[in-house]
Amino acid sequence: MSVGVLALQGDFREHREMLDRMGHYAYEIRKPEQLRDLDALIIPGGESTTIARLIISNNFQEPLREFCASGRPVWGTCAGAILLAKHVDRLDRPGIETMDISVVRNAFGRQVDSFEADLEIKGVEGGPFHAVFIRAPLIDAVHHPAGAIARLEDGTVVAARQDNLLATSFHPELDDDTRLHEYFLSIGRGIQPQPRTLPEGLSHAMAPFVDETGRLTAWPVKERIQREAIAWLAHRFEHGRHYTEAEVNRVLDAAHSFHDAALLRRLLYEWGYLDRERDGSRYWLAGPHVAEDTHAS
Amino acid sequence: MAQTGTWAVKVGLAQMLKGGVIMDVVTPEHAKIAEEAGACAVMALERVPSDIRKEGGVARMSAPELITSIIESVTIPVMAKARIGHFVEAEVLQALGVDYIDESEVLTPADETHHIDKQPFTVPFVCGCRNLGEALRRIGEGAAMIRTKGEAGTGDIVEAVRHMRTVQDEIRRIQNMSSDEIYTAAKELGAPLELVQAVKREGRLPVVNFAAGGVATPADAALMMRLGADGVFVGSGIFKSDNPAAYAKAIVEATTHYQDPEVIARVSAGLGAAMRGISVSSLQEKELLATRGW
Repeated sequence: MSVGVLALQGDFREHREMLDRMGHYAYEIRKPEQLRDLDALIIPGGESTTIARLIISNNFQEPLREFCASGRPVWGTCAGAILLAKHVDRLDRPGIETMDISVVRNAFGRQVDSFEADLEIKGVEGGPFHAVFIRAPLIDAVHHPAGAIARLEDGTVVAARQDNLLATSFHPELDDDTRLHEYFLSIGRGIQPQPRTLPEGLSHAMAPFVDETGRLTAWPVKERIQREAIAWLAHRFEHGRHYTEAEVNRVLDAAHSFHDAALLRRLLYEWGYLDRERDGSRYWLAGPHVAEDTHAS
Repeated sequence: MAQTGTWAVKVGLAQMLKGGVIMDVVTPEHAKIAEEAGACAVMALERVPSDIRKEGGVARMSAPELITSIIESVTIPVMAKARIGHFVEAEVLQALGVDYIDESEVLTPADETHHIDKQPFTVPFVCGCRNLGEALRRIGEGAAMIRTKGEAGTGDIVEAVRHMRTVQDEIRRIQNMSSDEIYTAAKELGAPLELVQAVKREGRLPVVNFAAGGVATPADAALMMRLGADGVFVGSGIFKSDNPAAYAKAIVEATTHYQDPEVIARVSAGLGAAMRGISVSSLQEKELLATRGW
């Protein structure tokens, strides 16, 4: 599955790394258009006031509401839970406001009152779940169709589910226990993701990095996907034609939007797709066999 | 059954601050401007570092009533500074309910040999570093978050860059060592062995590492993120600029979109003058704050 983690602020890296370890494609989402191809979305912990402001200033509010309404799974942890709730105490501007729960921010006090506890979570097998609460919110009311799925010993609700939406006031991403992430992704099974039509020849892994026309819009972090991107760019060059460096740059500028033609040109050469004169005065497309040889390490 | 003050919750709060900007504030009004701009936390101070530098004298923990009034004015976490080694100031700050204590070289050190033993505290600590050894010594003492020292109050990014590059370079060096070389490396770094081993295993510090000391513009903040910072502290840079609210908001956006020069260009436009600043190379050795801490 390809899972996005909203990366405006907070501990998005911990979620992404956990999803990576579980073998899913995980992407950091910083622009609304990146939501389009995801099967599921996590809104991480962080400062809810900060994330709420960045959601508004980056025009994320409507796209996030639409994502929640699309039936694809969305999970808010801590600050993310605050942003999903329809009613929030002491948040001075609207979040996504889609779950029928009411949340009290910093409900347990200040940082010195942050704590760890073991929980039973409805739908999560295999014994108690160790939960870390950091300046945590609590869920003080759950309205139908939302339902509580975990409580502290004193009855305080700390996790709730409403159809495709999940909210937890604690941080499963800070531990090694992947059960709640698995539970979250299982919400998505049975929901048929809308496959996006990618330009022919591109794998699903490339979806977050290209637009409809096949132009690269972001540079992947993983080398495996970088290699696919570079191979994709090589299609833009014609066999048997010689290019000056400036011409190579022009071809690349038309094929990507993050202004790093130098990086792409260097990798095209290093990974054997382009050949060049020693002094860099001329470039040309290397034969396919050359490309295979060079990166078969 | 619920446990407070554990290592997981101390380090955890710093994880929640990542990708964010922590701003120095000296009044509740400043704190509200910072929160409104999207700061993920504020640092409550009596004077920003550039004023401490200018006015001289002994810089101490801020007055309790100031810290309390700032805590009451915002919902984001509030940090406050204690002098290096002054564990009683730290106990006072914990009693006031601050969310994080910065054992800071910006204040006049209280102890020229020892830092605060941070393990017994419930409240977490952030400490400054210039290199990996210093970072790991602080973590060994119980710091749950690290920041580069940079050179506070100058608006000159050069020292923050030097310290971040030094830490990253030393981490890469440790990663490339064979496991039998780690013992001598730990000795040379003056750092606890198990923490050096953790760095080798993970390829990064065991806690969050922010950049601090000299960040004055959105581009400065993005530069530090590009160099591997998890977030940034901005001290004098915001409230010594022409337009603090606009600077604060622009630095927050640049920290989120640090990989996107178009966004940084857009948010940097029309801000007015940044803090004037002092070039670090014009300072005398004894005027440097970063050399405090051991």
